[in-house]
Amino acid sequence: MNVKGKLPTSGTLILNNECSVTAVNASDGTFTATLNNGKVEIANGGGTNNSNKICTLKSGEALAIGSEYECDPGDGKKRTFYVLEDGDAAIKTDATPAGSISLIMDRNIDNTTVAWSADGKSHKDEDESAQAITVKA
Amino acid sequence: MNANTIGWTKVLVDLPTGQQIANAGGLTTWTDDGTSTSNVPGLSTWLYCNLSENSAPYGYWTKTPHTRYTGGAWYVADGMNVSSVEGHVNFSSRPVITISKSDL
Repeated sequence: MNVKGKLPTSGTLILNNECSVTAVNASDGTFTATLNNGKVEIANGGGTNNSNKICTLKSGEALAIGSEYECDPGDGKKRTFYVLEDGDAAIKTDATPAGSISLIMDRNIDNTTVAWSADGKSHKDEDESAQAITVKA
Repeated sequence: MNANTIGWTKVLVDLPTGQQIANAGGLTTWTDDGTSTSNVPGLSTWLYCNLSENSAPYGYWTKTPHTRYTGGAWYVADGMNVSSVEGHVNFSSRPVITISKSDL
């Protein structure tokens, strides 16, 4: 069997001994496949659309502290983050509101060192002395 | 860090607080004045991965100053500890993003 393209991440594809599809119920967020009168029909945009999700779980349990996610914060580049805090947990800080989750990147933003500012509110890059790090993008 | 996160339009970006790191490390009695402990040893490796022991930056700053040690702030390396901020440029910054759970 020669399978091409992106495989569905959920659902069922049943084949007979001749590798003919006898039943389909599958989707991956961008399409839904069903079997109709012996033919597999692909509908774009069917199922749950995951394209707007910022983060997807890579390892661990969903929302668990330390679980690994792959996230695109908005610049189109996927990076690895770990769950740092659950806003609905019994023990948490005010930094993560209810209904939200905070994730820490798996590495520093770059290899440059930065000075910590004396006011305790901002951290400034050596070449960006006036910029606070705690911006809300 | 602002320049490196300028395109992060879908999330809130901040630094970790000392309490966030301590909680994630299982030390919920931690306080930023260091009365419970002066450091948080043995953090889980995911809290300090991709750091070099041989060249700076050796860790990353939290946004939390030490409230009894004037001029000190908490940083994370293989544990969390306090460093004088005066003239010290051994550490970098590690972003924390906050998003709605519906975006997961």
